[in-house]
This record gives sequence, structure tokens and C-alpha cells, in this order.
Amino acid sequence: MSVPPARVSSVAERWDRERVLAREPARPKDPRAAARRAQQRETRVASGLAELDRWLCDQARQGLAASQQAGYGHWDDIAARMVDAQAPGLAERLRALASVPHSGAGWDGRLLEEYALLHLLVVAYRRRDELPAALRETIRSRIGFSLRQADVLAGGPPVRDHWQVLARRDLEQDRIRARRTWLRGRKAGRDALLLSFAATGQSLDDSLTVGTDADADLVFYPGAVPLRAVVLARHDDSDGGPPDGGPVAGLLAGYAAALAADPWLDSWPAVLEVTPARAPAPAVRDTDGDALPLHPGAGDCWPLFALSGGRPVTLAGEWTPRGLWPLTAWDEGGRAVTL
Amino acid sequence: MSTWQDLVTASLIGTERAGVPAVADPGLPVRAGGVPDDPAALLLDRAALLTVARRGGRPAGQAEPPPAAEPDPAPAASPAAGRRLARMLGGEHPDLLAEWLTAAVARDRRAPDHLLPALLDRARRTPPSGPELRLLSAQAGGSRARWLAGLNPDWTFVTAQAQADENAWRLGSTSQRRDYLTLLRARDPAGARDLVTRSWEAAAPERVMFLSVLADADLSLADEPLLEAALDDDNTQVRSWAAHLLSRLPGSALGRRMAQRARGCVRIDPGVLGPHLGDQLVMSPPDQWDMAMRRDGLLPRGGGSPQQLDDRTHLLLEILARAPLCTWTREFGRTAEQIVGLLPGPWAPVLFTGWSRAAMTQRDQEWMIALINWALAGGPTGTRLGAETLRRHARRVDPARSARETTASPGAEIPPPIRDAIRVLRFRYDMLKELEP
Repeated sequence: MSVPPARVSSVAERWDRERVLAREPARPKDPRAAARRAQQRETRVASGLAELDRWLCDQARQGLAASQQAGYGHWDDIAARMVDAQAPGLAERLRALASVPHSGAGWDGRLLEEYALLHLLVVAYRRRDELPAALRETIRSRIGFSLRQADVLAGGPPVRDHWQVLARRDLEQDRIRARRTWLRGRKAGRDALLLSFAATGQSLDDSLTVGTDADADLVFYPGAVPLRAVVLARHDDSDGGPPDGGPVAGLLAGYAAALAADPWLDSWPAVLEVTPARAPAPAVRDTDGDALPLHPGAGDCWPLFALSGGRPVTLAGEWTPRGLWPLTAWDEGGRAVTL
Repeated sequence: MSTWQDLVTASLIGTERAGVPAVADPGLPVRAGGVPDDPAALLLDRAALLTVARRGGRPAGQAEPPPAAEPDPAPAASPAAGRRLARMLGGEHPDLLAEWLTAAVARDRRAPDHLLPALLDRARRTPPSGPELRLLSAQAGGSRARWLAGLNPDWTFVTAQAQADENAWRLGSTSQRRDYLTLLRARDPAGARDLVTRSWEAAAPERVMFLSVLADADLSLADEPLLEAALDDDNTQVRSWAAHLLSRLPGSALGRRMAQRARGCVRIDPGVLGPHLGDQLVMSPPDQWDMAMRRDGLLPRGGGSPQQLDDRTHLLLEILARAPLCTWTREFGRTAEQIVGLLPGPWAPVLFTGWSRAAMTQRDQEWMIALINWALAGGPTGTRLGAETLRRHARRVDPARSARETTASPGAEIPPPIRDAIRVLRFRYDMLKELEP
């Protein structure tokens, strides 16, 4: 299955987008000047967030019903102001909202969800001093504060494992292509997300092949739910073989626990043992009878159905609030098939 | 109505005109730090709380998977073969898809399950007049393809072919009749021939369809009377199909007539340098055109007078393309390779094309290999005729037995038709190798 270009949504991706377009500035020489610039940035972000909250409250006050008539400019204007306020993560989230009023039944609920979560982000940033350090990092990254990769690599302890390369999803927006690669440690079972970016026309990082295992040291970005990681060192690759697919209940419980720590988390790795179903709507069902809908944007998923033939398959994908986005399934020979 | 829906409704109307519904779900934490004064902020606060609660507390749904497909005894094609099929479905050498499928079916390999949707979609888009791809896709897809056809009405042609019966013949559409006849021909060649003979009163497009079905299968001399009679048909297309089929049939009377005409057009002048040294092919194109030639499907181009050189050359080409190739090996007492080695300069594109067409029609690998090896060594690819013939030839010759390199002027730039032919030959060679059991 080819993945259609979709909006790049997460803040972390937004940050890297900016970095691809404008080369990362060199580490400042003068620490006092750097501290002053950092303080200025906090001030600008704080006033930008205050403006965003006024805008959000205006929407709730006047009612969302008018959003269906609003053009893209409605969201682009406030997004541009968030760029000025040096909060690119928020700008990205706002730009992505323009398509929600035309996303079919339930659009009003989805728009309210997004406004509410942005509002929550504003409130959380305002009260950041009361929050645990890890959650503070999550909030800052979702707003768009950047971390240098070198600082990340130096900051956390490396985690070595045989990382199964579960799935890969490419997204495209404007002039930037983003690649999300989902990993799971074979020994410790920990999930990791690698992000890479390239300008259109340039090739994305292709060093990890879906369906293989990579013996590697990863360093995780700090956060309330540390998922995003960067490769510190590769040791060896092996053939891998299918991962252990779990039940639906386990996935939902894992996602709920992660949400409790990071309420903005809207993409969660899923590795399931399921049978695809078409009725009443495209879905997958496990042996307990628990079903999950497939994401409406993932199309009709015929290759997944053809692969399963009505029998359970091991399936890796992204679980999102709108449904499961299937990405990789393993065939009868244990080979990974990209959907 | 749920609390969430109340919140959505209030947000649609706006807090200017609607109140903010209370959120009373048990288990939700009480907000520390008091309640905001602004009702809009309060609404967003409560919506945020419920959004996360609903996402985290989402229950699993229900769904009913379809009954499982029957297991398929045929082993799947190798991973490399599957990857190549995926590339072809993605647009690389799509014209070789039928060959991949034919080879897979012949070796009892099935197409990888996950590629079947793309394969069946491709087959569905081919016109009903060329049903080969649909039949082959259904065969290579096996029981999984039939299972998919039960789920997606777009692919019913997969099962329709298996169900074709006498009713399909009497009452069905042209494409259903075609499917029925194709299956009958594969199972019972004589029965299919009798059915065609009995149904010959049908309209001309139907008669063309009958003959095109016969063209897809093996012919035998038992088919000759039917085809010979069709040479006198009042429809041009029917006549030309019949002539084409008869020229493919070893030992046919049409083949003997063509051989006689052909022998008058090409001879060998022995060289003066010694046995077989400096031997030359000498051409004398036919200088008249008669009704017997017309009956055998030989038509001067554009209806012009056969006295013009162009039309004479054209007639020569048509005769060469229809004459049995054994005419030449017998007449000259040489192998195909030796004869092709004599191809003379100005006549080379015509002889190459005429013999290539004959070799492809008669499925004569010896001649095809001799001709393509000669062409790859720098043959008459500068002409449009030669280049087009090479293009078709490279798709038909056995790639394992033909050269897959040019031997012409190493270092010089390879002409594009030769480069393309080599690319196709290598692609086909790898493709067939990957499908080996």
C-alpha cells in the first residue's frame, strides 16, 4: 500500500523540518548571550501562547459551526503568528486543522478535541513550574523548542537491544518529507520511534530495512513517554523474523497508560495478531473478539486482506484516535510485507 | 446523550449563546486551582479532560471477518519473483506481465497474496478483447484470488471464468462467450472447433473472436479445413486472421503456397572465393499480384500498383513473414545461423523483419535466436522497421539461449534499440530464472 502524503503533525517533526530548511546554528560562543536569547525566546513563546489561548477561547465563544465556511486562511493566520512567536510546533498543529471541517461526519468533535488539546498545552506551559521535569520536556517539544541531536546523544544513557524494524511511514508536506520508523527491542520490549527528514528530491534515510533486526545503541529524547530516539551506534544486523503480535486489549491498555503521562500522544506503535474484517467497516479483530477500526485515510487495505485470506496475521502499524493505520504484515513465510 | 456530545453541541453553538455542560463522569480528577471565569476556557478545559479520557478509555469494537480462504496447494513464487512482480505492477516493463504469469502458472507457482489486489485491478482494466491477462491472473492467483473475488465485485471475472457453461455460450456477452470458448479449447480442442464450425453464422466480430481464441492455443492440422474455408470469408478481418493462423500451422497448404512464392524471391549466388566463401543472397521481389495471393492474405500496401518498388518490397516482406522457415534451411542446405549470416546490406531490414515475423508466428526458437544474435551484433536497427522488429523480437525469444550483450564495435556508443533489447532480454532472463522451482 502506498502511503498518501499526509500532514506532518507532531511537534518534534516540525522542529526538524525547520532545521532542514535552515541549517542548525552553530553552538553559541558566549554563554551569557545565549542565556539572554533563551530568556527572550521564553518571553515570546509565552506571549504567543497567551494570544493562542485568546484565539481558542474566541472560537469556543463564537461557536465552531462557522468553521465549515472558513477558508484555510482562518488557521494559517494564527499559525503564522505562532511561527513569529517561535512556537513552530503549535503552528504545525494549527495548519493541520484546516482540513478537519471537511473530514466527514464527526468533524465537529474532532475539531473540538484539537482545540481542547491546544488549550491544554497552553495551560500546561503556563503552569510548567508545577510539573515534573519529564512532562515539562514533552510540553516544550510539542510547542517547538528544539533539542540539538548532539545534546540528546550526550544526555541520555544508550539503550542497547536487538531492535526489530517494525514499520515505516513516510509523510510529506510542503517541501519536506518525513520518515517515521518504528522499532521494538526484542529483548526488553521497549518501543522507539526514529524520525528522519529530507527536502523533496533528496532521499530519506534508508539504513534500516523493515523486517530486519538491528543490534544498536539508541538514545531516547527526554519526555514523559520517551519514544523518540536517535541511533548512537550500530553493531550488527540480522534477519529478524516476525515480532510477537499481541491482543487488542493489550494495545489499548498500553496506549491508555501512555496517554496518562502524555495526553497529546496521538500515534502509538501497534503490533497485533489479528484477522482483518470488512463488516461493518474495515477493521481488525483478535482471537478474543476485540476489534479496532482501520484508519479511514488508510484506504481499503486490500493487500492486507489478500495477505490474511481470512486468517490471523501479525500486523504492525500506528494506533491513532481515528483508527489503526496498517503498515507492515508478515506472510506465511515470516517475511515482512510493506502494506 | 453523552456528556461529550453535549460539549460538542455547546461548542458548535458557542458559549455566547449556550451554557457549558458539566462533566460528571465518575473517576475523573477534580481540577486543582479553581475554575476559570471565562465560560469558553471552561468549555475547553472540560473538553480536554474528556478527550483524553475518551481516547484512553476507548473500548474495543466488534467486527466479523469473512470466512477463511481455502488453502492453496501450489507453493508461492520466490521472494525475488514476488518483488519483480511488484515492480512490474508498479510500471516497470508492464508488457511482460503476461509472461511472468504464464511462467508462474506453467511452473505451478502462485503470485504472492498481497500483490493479488494490484494484479486483479490491472487485469480488470484490460479490454475484454484481450482476456489473456484476466485468465492468467485468475490462474496465478489460485484459491486466494477466488476468495478475494467473493469480497470485491470488481474482481468477479476471476470466478466468472470458472463458472462459464453452456448458458454462458448461448446467453452471455461476447466476453463471456469468449471465456467459455477459451476454456473449452483448452479442455477439448475438437469440441471447441466443432462449436465454432456450428456457430459460423454469427456476426463478423464474433467470427473474429472465434479465430482469436484459436490463436491463443495450439493449432493442429485438424483445424485446417475450418481455417481454409475462412480464407473465403466476406469479412477482411476474418480472412486476415485465418491467413495468419494457417501460416502458423506446420504443414498447411497455405504454408506450401507461400513457400513456393518465397522460393522465387530469394536465392543464393555461390561465391567465387571457394565453397561458401563470398556467397550472397539475391533478392527478386514478386512483380505481380493476383487473386490467389489476395486469398492468402497478401495485400499490396494501400491498394497501390504492385509495380512500384515499395509495394513489391512490401509484398516480399509479407511472403517472407508467412512462408515456413524450413523452406530456407531445406532449400539452401544451411542452418538458420548460416543463412542469417548472409544477410545483404540494403535488403537486410526487409529480410530481418520478414524472417523475424515468421519466426515469432511459427515460434521457431532456432531462427529467433539466430536473428536476434545477428541484430544485437549491430544489425539493421538504424531503420524504423528493423528497430521495431528487434523490440518485438526481444520480448519473444528465449532469453536463456540468446545473447544478452552486443558484440558490435566495443567502445562505441550502443544504438538505443540494441540497448533497449538487451535490457529487456536481461530482465526476462532474470525473471524466468527467479520463477524456476
